This record gives sequence, C-alpha cells and structure tokens, in this order.
Amino acid sequence: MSIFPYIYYMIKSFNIASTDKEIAIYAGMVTSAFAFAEFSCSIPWGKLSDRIGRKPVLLTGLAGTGLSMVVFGFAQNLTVALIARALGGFLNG
Amino acid sequence: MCSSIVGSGLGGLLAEPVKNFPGTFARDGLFDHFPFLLPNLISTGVVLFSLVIGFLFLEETHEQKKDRRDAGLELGQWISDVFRARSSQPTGYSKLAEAHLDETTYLTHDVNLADPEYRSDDENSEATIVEHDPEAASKTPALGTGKVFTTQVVLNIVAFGILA
Repeated sequence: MSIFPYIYYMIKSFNIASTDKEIAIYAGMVTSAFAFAEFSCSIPWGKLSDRIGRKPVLLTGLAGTGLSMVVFGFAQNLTVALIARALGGFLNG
Repeated sequence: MCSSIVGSGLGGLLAEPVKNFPGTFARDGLFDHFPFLLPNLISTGVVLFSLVIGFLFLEETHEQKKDRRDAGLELGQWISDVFRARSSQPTGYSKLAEAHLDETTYLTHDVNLADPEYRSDDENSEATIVEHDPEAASKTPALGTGKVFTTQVVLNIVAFGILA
C-alpha cells in the first residue's frame, strides 16, 4: 500500500505508455499483482505453518517481503516491477 | 487501516528524492538512476528490523511445535538477561536441604500408579476434575473495548501502519 502515491509516476518513468489511460491500466496491474499473488498463496502458507510451526513461516514471509521491496525499488521496467510485486505477494504469506 | 496513513505517507514523501529534495540528494547519484528506491529501502529497513526482533523474541504459538528448541528465542533471552544485569536463576528460592526431600521421594517409590488396583473408582477423581477447566475457560467474561488494546496489540497496529 505504500506504493500507491508514486506508482503513477513510476509507470510514467518507464516510458512504455503513451496516454494517461494506459498508465492507469499498468498501475492497476502492478497493484493487483500483489493482491492476487497473496490471495493464491495464503492457504498453502497456512498449511505449511501447520507442519513446520508459525515462527519459521512468519520470518520467511518477512524476509521475502523485504527482498521483494528492494527488487521493486531497483525496477527499471514494467516486467521487473510486476515480478517484484508478485514475488512480494507470494512470499508475504 | 493504519497502514494507509503512515505507509503511503512515507511512500509519497520519499519518492523521487532528487526532484523533491535537490539539496540533500546529489544528481547522478544512486537515487537519480533509481528514483523510486528510497521509500522501498526505508520499508525494507523496517522489515529487517522487525525480522531481527521476531527472530529473537517471537514465541511459537503452534501447540505441537511449542516445545521445540528455539535458538533465536534463547539468544533473545540471553540478550535481555545481559541488559537486565540479572542472573538467570529465579530469585527468592533456595534449594531444600537433602533431609526434607526423603519424605516425599520415597512415598511413591515402589508403587506403579498405572496398575489397575491403584486406579480410582471414585467419580470425583483428579482425571475428571481436569476436564472442567476448558468449560470454565470458555465462560470467561468478555473484555471491555478499552482492555483489548494491550501493548502487544498496539505494537502490532503500529508495525502494520508503517509496513503496509
């Protein structure tokens, strides 16, 4: 959620969209990638935490989120940004 | 909900720092090539900090895994002992003299409590009394709204507010 204020400018800086409408579409894609990935992975994470305990899963989720944030910060094009957000969603647990 | 306040505020403040704070951030520096790196770096710093704290002090809540030896928790206990400058022995208790122990240790020495002869026929035995505890526990009175905000809950809210 902390990417909401600047995601528009970030997509604009990638220079892939010509109109505001396209920028909005790409911004929506990036934002929803996180939520969709988290939605699809949260139940398996829960099952895993039943097997190996809550603390390891929580800590790996935190580490994965941190890693995805760094990758997102270094993104120079849309593909990397999308991958970083999806990764963050997958690993957020 | 807190996350939208602090998280997005932080994101908006720190994005494109070369454009917004030209005095502090140099041109052609790292933050000029990657204008959206700074808010993500700060968020990653917060996440790493909470990772370290969680590794050291977070307790396992899973019932079957609770008794597993946790290296991080032991390290955290050692660190907090160092800061409190207190020995790890519980205070106020001293070992009983040997003579007092003899009375109770030999009381059940030759008796195997699992034998059928020693099982109690009485309905009010210890085993049934334990079963009443879960029922009593479920009837605990509901907390008032003010009491819900313990330190742990407040810390969780603050952490989410900064993170997400």
